[in-house]
Amino acid sequence: MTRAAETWLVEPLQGFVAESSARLVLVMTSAGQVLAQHGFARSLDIMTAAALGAGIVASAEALARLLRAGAYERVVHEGRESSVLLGAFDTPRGRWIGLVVFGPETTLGLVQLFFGQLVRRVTAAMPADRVPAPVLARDFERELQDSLRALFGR
Amino acid sequence: MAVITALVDHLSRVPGVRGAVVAARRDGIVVAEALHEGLDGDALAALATSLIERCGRVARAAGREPPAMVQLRATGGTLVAGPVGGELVACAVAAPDANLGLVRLAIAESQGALA
Repeated sequence: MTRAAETWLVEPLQGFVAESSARLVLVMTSAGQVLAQHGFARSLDIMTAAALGAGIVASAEALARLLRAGAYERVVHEGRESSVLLGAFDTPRGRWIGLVVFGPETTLGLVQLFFGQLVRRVTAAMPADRVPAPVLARDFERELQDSLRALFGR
Repeated sequence: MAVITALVDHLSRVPGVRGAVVAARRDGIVVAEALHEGLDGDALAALATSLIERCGRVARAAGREPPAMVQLRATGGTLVAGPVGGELVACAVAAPDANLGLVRLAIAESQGALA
């Protein structure tokens, strides 16, 4: 099941899932605010995955700066039964992150290939009328609840 | 690694071949490539590996051995791919007028060398 806080994200995300055979997908801001998801059954799992994913990307980017290695575009954790790809990308509304969980029914090469297409589709389809708003502590919880309601339809 | 590099080099020198890639079969990532401009090696590696795996599944489902080589013919050219040495997949993209016999021979020879 694919759901998104903004409906224009659903189509590119569904296309990515169909082409890459990914099991779970999250699209979020670099602050960990979830924008779209596929395959997650519980809001708690989403919140945890988003927080951990955003943290891993932030750590990798800090490490890249420390090592003067430019930017790490993708972080991959390979496992026996499933693997995780974390990819950060720039959009007109700030830096976003994709978290993809995939199994042996597909390959890292295919997931990376179609993730690149997802990034291009998301950037192309993004409405230009919204600018990124600063994340304020007093708004954060309400926005989080709003996002989760949209993502789970309740 | 020298055998793999030689294979890619050999394939890319066949008249009419636009590019050749050797990819890891497990993850579809490029191991070696020699491409003419305009060919995306990452995409070619990922899709050719997937093609070989899927053809293998079809063959097994039909009670046959996995294919030693897969040839995909289109109006703009031909893709020839085959598993090499168990862990790799070799793939060449050829123009319609390319000598496909030489492409297939190069892949078959490397299958023997890396067996």
